[in-house]
This record gives sequence, C-alpha cells and structure tokens, in this order.
Amino acid sequence: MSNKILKYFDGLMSGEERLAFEKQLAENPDMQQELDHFKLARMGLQHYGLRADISAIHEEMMRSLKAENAVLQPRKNRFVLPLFKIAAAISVVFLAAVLFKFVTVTPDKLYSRQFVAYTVDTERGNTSETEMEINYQAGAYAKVIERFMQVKNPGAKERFLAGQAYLALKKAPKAAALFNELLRQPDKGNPFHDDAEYYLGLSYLAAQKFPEALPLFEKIYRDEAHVYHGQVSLQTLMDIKILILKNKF
Amino acid sequence: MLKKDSLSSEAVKTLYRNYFGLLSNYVKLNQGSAQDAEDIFQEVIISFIEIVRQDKFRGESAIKTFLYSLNRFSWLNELRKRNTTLAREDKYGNASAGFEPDVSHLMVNREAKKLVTDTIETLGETCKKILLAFYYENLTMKEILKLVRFESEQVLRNKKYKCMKSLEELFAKDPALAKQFKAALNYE
Repeated sequence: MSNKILKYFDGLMSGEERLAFEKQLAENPDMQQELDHFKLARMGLQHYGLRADISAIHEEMMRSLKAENAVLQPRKNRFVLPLFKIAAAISVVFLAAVLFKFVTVTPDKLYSRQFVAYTVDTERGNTSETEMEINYQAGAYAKVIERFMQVKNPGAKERFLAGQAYLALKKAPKAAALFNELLRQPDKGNPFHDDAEYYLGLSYLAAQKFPEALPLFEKIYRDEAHVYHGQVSLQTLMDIKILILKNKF
Repeated sequence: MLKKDSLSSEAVKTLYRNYFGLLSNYVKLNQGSAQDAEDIFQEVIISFIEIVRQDKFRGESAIKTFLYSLNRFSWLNELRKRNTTLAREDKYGNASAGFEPDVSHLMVNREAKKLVTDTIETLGETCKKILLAFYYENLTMKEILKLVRFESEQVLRNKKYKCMKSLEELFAKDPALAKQFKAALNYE
C-alpha cells in the first residue's frame, strides 16, 4: 500500500487510478497519515536542499561583500591615511625641534649669538677720541670705568661706554643701570638711544633677566627703523621665551 | 523568481547585496557578533524563500520591511534563548516597531530547522542523493540514474521508495518528530 501512496504522492497515477485511490484515501486515516508523513519528508528534503544551495551562495556572497568592503576601506583611507601620516610626521618633527630647542638654548649661547661688539663710531659727530674711547678701544675696560667714575657730569657717550665696559667685565646689572639712565633721556639729541636699548637687552640676557629682556627685543623686532632691527629675529624672541619657560622649571 | 522550484542564485545574491548591510547591523547593534549577523541573515533568507514558496508572503509589506522584521524577531528570539537580557532595545527597533508587520509567528527557529537537517543527514549518502535529486532538483528517474549506479530505473525506483519509507517510518514511530518538522517547515 505504501508504494501506492508514494506513487500517488509523486503524481505518477493516471486519471482513473488516481480517482479510485483518492476515494480509498478519504476513508482511511492511516493512509492519510502516511501521506502526510511523505509530505513532511519532502518538505524536509526541500529544506535541506535549499539550505545547501543558500549556504554555498552565502559563502560566496560573504567573500564578495568582505572583498568589496576591503576595497572600499583603502579608498576611504587613500587620502586620509597619507594626510594623517604627514600630519603625524610634521607633529613629530615639530615636537623634536621644540624639544631640541628647549634642551639646547642656554643664556650664554643666546648672549654670544646676539652680542655685537661696539666700536667707537666717529660718525656720531665726535672725531676727536677721548681717553675713555681710547681705553675702550684698547679693551682696558677697568680703566674706562675708572675714568667714568671721575667724570662729574657724565654725558651720554660716557655713560654708554661705561655701560659697555661693565658689560665686557660681566657686570651686567651695573651695565643695565647705566643703559637705563641713558634711555631716560629724551630720544631727540640722544645718539645712543637705539644702542642703549639693544645693549640694555643684552645686559638683561647676561643677568638672566629674560622677562625684562623680552619687551626690549620685541620692540626692536617690530621697529624696522631701529638701528639694531636686523639683529633681532623671531628666533631671538622664541629663544628668550624658551629661557623664560626653562627658568620656571 | 524565488517562487520557482529551481533556485535563482541571482535573486538570492540581490537579496544579499540589498539587505545584508541593514539586517546584519541590527544584530550587531543588539549584542550580536558579526558571525551571529551572518548566521541569522542566512536563516532569514532560507525562511523568506520558503515563505514565498508557500505563498505566505503576498507583498502586503515591502520585501525590505518584511526581511527586517523577520531578522529582528529571529534575532530577539535567539537572544532570549541565550538568556540575554533584552532590557536594551536599539533605536532601530523602537523606531520601526509601530510600522513593521507582525511576523513573530514566522520567525526563524534555528533549533527546529537543525533537527530537520540532522534527520535528513541520517538517511545516508545514496538515499540523500536520490531523494534530493527527485524532490529538490526535480530530476526525472532517467536523469537520476545517470548520477547513481543502479542497474535499471526500476531498481532505482525501488531504492527511492525504500529511502522515502525510511523517513516516513521515523515520523510514524515518533509523532513528536513529525510535529517538530511541521512547526519548523510550515509557516502558519
């Protein structure tokens, strides 16, 4: 009987045979149950086959979608990654430069770099050299100071040369005091105004008074007409700032 | 295309291309791994094809909405089974809750489906080959004869009957198994 049920189930019965079988089937619950079981079996087989096919497509599609994503990923990063690398490299170089600066900038080095030896200037309207000038040019700084102390009413030149002598003798605070005195004189008629400003700045550097030195050098840097404008660069200002920072640690 | 007995792999690939991203995101956003997302999607596709073939999807909702709901219910069901707290619902889920079709009764029951495949696996290679060729690939006995070594079509027919009968007997002996098959494969 089972064979007949399967024949019916598979649709292999002819018209008359099928009609007769269906009549028989309608009266027999066992046959109906067996037929139901065949239907279940077929559904299970179809599910199994479908799963195998979908599984194969699934594998293929997962490979394909992952490959597409992998292709899209570098595309997305094609510009971002190099930019990031460049930015990172610049940052590293910048940080290294800052660190290098921070470590290598010292008051002595900055002072040596900024120092300009003052020579007696005959163009300032004084052609006949005084004793102080002669001593200054000879490098006899102690004598310059000795002579300065003897002058009752020192003028701008005397104060300036004495200041230079103090600076040469590494007595920066005394030099600064004289240059400050000079700067208190009115600009007009003070041929040493610009020199006094620059050398006051140097005196502060030598005395390691960097916060006092900074505004002087900034002023000279901004003032293109200043005699010492060419001596002050951004690097000078940055180095002074670094020294201010270093002094805080 | 999915309604046809022979599977259109292009139609299935289109489903993957169009909906895998959206559906897998839902799983991944709701405590699932990438592998969970792939597994659930595969189950959803199998179920969708079976639902279409049983005429249970009549296009009342868009394929996208239907698949999304199927995916959502199936994954939440899977999570419940894993005893994971479902306190957190993602924004997607909440947002679409009012508009999605109720497909909770259609959701993928992976365990029941596994029982089906495990049962078919017990058939043995030859039986599996013959029965799949006949009932899934819709090949004629003549065509199947070329795939398996049998003396004649009649011998093959007898073998096919035996194979089918062995499956039928499993259900006859174990009505619970028949019930589980029905639950897994009938999208009522």
